[in-house]
Amino acid sequence: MRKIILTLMFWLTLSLSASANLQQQIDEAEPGATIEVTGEHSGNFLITKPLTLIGKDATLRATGMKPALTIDNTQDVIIDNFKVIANQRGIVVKDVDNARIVNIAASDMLIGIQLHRSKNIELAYNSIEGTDAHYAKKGNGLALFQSEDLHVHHNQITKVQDGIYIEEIQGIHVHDNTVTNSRYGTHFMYSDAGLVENNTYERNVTGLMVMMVDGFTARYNTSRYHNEMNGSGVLFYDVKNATLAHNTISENRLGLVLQKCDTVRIEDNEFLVNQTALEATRVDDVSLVMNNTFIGNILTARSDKEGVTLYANYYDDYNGIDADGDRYGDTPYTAYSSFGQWMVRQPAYQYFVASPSVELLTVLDQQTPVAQHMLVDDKPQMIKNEAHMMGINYAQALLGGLLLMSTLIVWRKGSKR
Amino acid sequence: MKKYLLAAFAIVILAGCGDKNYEPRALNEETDVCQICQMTVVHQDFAGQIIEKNGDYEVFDDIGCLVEKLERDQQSEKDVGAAYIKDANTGEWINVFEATYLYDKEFWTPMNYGVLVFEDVTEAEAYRSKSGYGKLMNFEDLQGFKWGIHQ
Repeated sequence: MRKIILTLMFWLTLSLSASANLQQQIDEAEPGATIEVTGEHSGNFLITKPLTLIGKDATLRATGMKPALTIDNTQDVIIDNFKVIANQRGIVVKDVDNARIVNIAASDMLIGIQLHRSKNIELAYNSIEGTDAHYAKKGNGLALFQSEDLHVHHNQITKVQDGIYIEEIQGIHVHDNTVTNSRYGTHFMYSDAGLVENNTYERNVTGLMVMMVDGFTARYNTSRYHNEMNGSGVLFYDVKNATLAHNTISENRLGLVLQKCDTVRIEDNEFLVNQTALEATRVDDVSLVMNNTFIGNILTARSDKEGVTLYANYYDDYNGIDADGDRYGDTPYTAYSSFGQWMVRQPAYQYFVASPSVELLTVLDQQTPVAQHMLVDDKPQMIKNEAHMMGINYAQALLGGLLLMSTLIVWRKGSKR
Repeated sequence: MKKYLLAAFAIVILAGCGDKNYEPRALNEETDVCQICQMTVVHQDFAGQIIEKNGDYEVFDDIGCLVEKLERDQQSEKDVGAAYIKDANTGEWINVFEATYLYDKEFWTPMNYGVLVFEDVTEAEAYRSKSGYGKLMNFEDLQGFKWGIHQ
């Protein structure tokens, strides 16, 4: 028994001494110094001066409910290459000007990195993995509040509530991040001048959620596989002066949802194989859905009675012709579907999508005058995105060829007998 | 006499056709999705619902989403059949427009908006005394309220 107690005391003392050493090193370092950290350090470390911490196979383990590392009221801080373990929050940054937090690996915690009232902050190449609990019981991967000029890129985030939560931020560039299996991939609230590009969102409830925002651009992102009963690729709620361009939105229950939006431009995006590509509610008539590609969607668009302006998009289910050769159909494309409109009111109706009665209803819609003023594109494109139209999946082609050859061989052998 | 009987019958029938009964319905967390944030209504203790005058039910996972929906559609009490939210104390459906609200960023709600709902001021005061913090509000105070996590 005495041996066990002595061993425990030895490890406890060693651990305390290691953490004391790191905090002591931080406290004793000259402002602007660089500290190389190795091994595991337990405690709740605090930086209040310009400093660079470089990890070499290093781990910061939080004790209790406090963060493993807090950077408070300072400037010019770099934290690079640490594994962080914490019960609640991994790293907290408060009132800091100019910091880089990169190459952090955090897992099984509530919030990976939390930022308050700071400016000129770079969060990059971090890897954050939450738990398998319900979204409501989890925190955000990166939680960013009341800050300005942020650069968030190349982070890998999974199994959290919101991958990147952004509230009251002025000026943020979010790019090349991947967020999967979370509630919202990136969630904007009351944040202006946001630029979101080249990110990948997969298997979340909603890939990109933008709420109460004025001035926003999202481009070249991919949002796909959000096909739970409440899933959507991109959702804009109360958004003004925004552009969504060159994104690929595929295999979602709802591709793009627009609610209460003013002056938004949805252009040059690809909507592929979504259950419903576009849903619009309370969208002003200045907003425009233009030059997009709609391929393989069960329902192209649905809306409230105010509709949304569709112009010069490509629709794979357009049946018109281009007799004058101007690359646009000679008759308008009607996206209106009675059933789609009903689904706006009763989302549970989605379970009847593609049933024979719904298909019949949709055909009838095309031939009735009810639809003539709503969800109509007067200038549908005839040819668009040849890469999709003409593309060959070589693996599938090879497999098909092999199957065909096998069938022929079996057939020939059978016929010889 | 026949005339009076016919008139009485007509009055009864017409009265029956008149008032709609906007009762809250039970929620199903497997199929009910919040109109605004698209989350399923897993935490029913915080759920809300609006019954439109045409009888449509709309479901919300958080009072913030319900208020946003009213703002989105520019609706006031007279424009909807009824609007209900769960009482944070009793779990009963209560009238959104007459409820008392208690806000603090520390209060947990499904969208982390931090606004709890109570049937009356007494209930809300009691909760505030117990928790030690919270700002009392009424429905009018929620107009223009900045929903967010507010860290």
